[in-house]
Amino acid sequence: METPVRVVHYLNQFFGGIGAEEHANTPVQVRDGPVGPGRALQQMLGESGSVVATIICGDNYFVEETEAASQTVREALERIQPSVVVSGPAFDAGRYGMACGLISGLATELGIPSVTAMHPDNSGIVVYGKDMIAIPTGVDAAEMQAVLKDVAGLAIRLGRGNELGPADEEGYLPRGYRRIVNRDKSGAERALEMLTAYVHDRPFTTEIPIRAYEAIPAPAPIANIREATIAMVSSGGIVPRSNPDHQVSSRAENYFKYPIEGIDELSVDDWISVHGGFNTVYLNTKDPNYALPLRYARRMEAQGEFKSLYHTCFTTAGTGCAVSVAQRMGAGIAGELRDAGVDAVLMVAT
Amino acid sequence: MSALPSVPLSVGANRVVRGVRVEHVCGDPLLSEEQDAAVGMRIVATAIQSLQTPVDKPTLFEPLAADASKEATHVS
Amino acid sequence: MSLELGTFPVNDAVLGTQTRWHGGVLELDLEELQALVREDPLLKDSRLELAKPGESARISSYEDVVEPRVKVSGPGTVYPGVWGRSSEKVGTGRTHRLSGFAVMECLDMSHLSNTEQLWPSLKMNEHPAAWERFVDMSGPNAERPPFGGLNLLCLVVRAAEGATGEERRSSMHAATMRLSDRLAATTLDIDPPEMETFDLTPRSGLPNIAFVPHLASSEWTFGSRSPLGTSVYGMSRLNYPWMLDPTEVLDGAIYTGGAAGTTWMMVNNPVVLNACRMHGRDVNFKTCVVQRTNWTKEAEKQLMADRLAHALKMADIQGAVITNDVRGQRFLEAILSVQACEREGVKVVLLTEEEDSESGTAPPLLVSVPELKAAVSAGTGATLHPFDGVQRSIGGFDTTQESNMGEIPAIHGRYGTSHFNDIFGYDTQSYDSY
Repeated sequence: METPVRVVHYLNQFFGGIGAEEHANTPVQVRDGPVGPGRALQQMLGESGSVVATIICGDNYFVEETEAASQTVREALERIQPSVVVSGPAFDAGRYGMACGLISGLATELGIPSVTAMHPDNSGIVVYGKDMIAIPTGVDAAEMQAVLKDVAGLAIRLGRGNELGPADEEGYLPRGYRRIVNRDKSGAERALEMLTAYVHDRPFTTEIPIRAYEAIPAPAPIANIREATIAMVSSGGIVPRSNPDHQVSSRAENYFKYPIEGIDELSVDDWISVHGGFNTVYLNTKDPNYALPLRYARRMEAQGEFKSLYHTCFTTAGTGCAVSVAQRMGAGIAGELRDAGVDAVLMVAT
Repeated sequence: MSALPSVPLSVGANRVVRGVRVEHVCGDPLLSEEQDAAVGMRIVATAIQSLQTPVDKPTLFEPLAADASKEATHVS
Repeated sequence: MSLELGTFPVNDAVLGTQTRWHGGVLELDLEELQALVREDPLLKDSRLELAKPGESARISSYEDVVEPRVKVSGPGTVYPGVWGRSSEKVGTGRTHRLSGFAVMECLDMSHLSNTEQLWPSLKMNEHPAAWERFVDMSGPNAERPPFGGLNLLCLVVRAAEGATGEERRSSMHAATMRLSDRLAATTLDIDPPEMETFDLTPRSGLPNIAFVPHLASSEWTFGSRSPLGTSVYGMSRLNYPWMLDPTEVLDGAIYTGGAAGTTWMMVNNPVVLNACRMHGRDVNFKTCVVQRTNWTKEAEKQLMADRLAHALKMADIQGAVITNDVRGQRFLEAILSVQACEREGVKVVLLTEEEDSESGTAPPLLVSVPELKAAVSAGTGATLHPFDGVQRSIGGFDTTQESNMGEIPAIHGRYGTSHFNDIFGYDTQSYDSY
């Protein structure tokens, strides 16, 4: 029979029995044993777990005095040495959810696994969802018992040091990670089973979540273009003909900078594309300006359409670039251009 | 400027100008020199225009209004 | 419309004094087969090597893999339209095949300098093997689909110095066909030990489904008239959606030349085979529609997606499994197809590998559309176990035998770097949310 896992339970001032909204500024309190819903949690844990302590804090206090509150909680956890921290359930209470997220973060800092529960739209999920195990709930505390049963189940496994399986199997909210698994049938079989269900209007579960890239707030338009300095960037793999920096044709990790001061257009004598993802014959035998339109930018500059072209162009090769690498390169280029006082960028993506 | 605007629009680029073809985004080697240059110029000018245009989400700017007449679907 | 497929299992392949199949053993007269290859003077330096499952051997830089098949009745020739073969329609009558055995082409590039090897600059950021196509005959990864357990007769061709070697590739592919034909001929006039009939007569009252593989055309590399690259009845160029009977696929109507996936994977396609075997129960498996990709202008991609949806609608298709062989910008074509089909009322399941999650920072698909409702994940092409060093190297991708024969670390799957792209869902490996 395994030793019961040691659980510390975090509750807000309401579930901790102190009071309602008027007590939201209650500082951190640590009590022995379970409190309030913690007793039901203890029942669900049975012999496998023991709620050794309860930490209670006002929703406002935790969110407004996070430093102080975190310090107290940290010390308590270090003293008590639980095998797992349970916080909430917070249902749709936003500040409570945020506090649960912070608690999970503190536990992680100390190497202690944790589990919480709240509504999927709770701001705690929005802000901290990536870093914590959270069981989805509705908005009604009436489902407390059912939720605590699920929480207890995961708390025991986590407290024992077990790794959890995929989110939909284990019943927690997906955190955005995808990992290799082995399914029971081949992809082809699963695809045909899914299609058969679909054409017969029977339910099925898709395997790939739709996930958008993060929205980027659009920069305000340039008020006075005639005063603007504009830089040129390309992911078309445009480099000087000797490829002095050895830019690779695919899976690039670096961008490079080359001077374009005094050059009116790119010529096939001096420039080449090393991009590995398309036929570069036009760029390399006819006109590199197709992928870095210096010729046309210069004409507009000469006409006074904008003040000047930045003296350096930035290039990389886009084939097979990992998203995180592309983000790093983009941030690097943007940082350099911002520091140089450049107002806008003309970028070609091939 | 991209010949496959759906991709940068999807990724979140806010100002996207449609280019001609992946192999030659800012121009068309199958046209005469003058027409090719006119196409390239038009694309860059549209880009400059877009920099002065307020947008609040990924937005596509079309450089060639009547491009149906200039671009047949051909590959070789 | 039906096709009978007679299977002759090759439980063991041995070198001997004649070329014949008997009782599950394929005997190979290597001299005879070598002479058959060297009929073409361009291949005078080539050699044949037999690799068997369980051997400590690595086959590197493989190109196409072809399963010996032959038509014993019904019109046409298997693998129609390529390398001078008849392009008469196939897919009916009876075909014989050898199972557990294939001809594997490989390029020996170990004599080339780094700058002469194909796409040398791609290797600079990774272990050379991560870019290469290789198969280990033993070790923790050997049993994985699709080639696990196959006896492989390797046609090793020395890669051309300093050239892409299109001529040499053509010679190699033609020689592979000669070998395949010669080996498949060992099954003529013998009753197949295993027989399966694919009768795809539609049953009334069942929804019709289609398999729609998106296959990249190599037209931009080799030109529109080149026979190299993936082709349908020998046609490699970008063109309109091809409607095929599923049994045409089983008779080799889709050929790859190793450009993306292998010809072996087409005649043994698990979506086609499983759908054939489901036919008449819950669904009718009506057609396989090949969608060519690698159009480089979005308007073209959109047009092709719309035409595909229209073609499926005209064929009274209610649902389709869509796959895609090479991702990157070609994935946009697959997604546009999903969208166009769903808008036309054709339900779609997209079977695809995903992009590397990069520890949760990157989305699963390059681009997506709200119409994508049903997707099956074939993972990321990862190989979880490292590859042990081997005693024998066939072919070669690097100038050092160390690379060809040494240990290779486990391969983290991502676009462009994976051991095996599970285009058609051969494997159970998948990706899931955590």
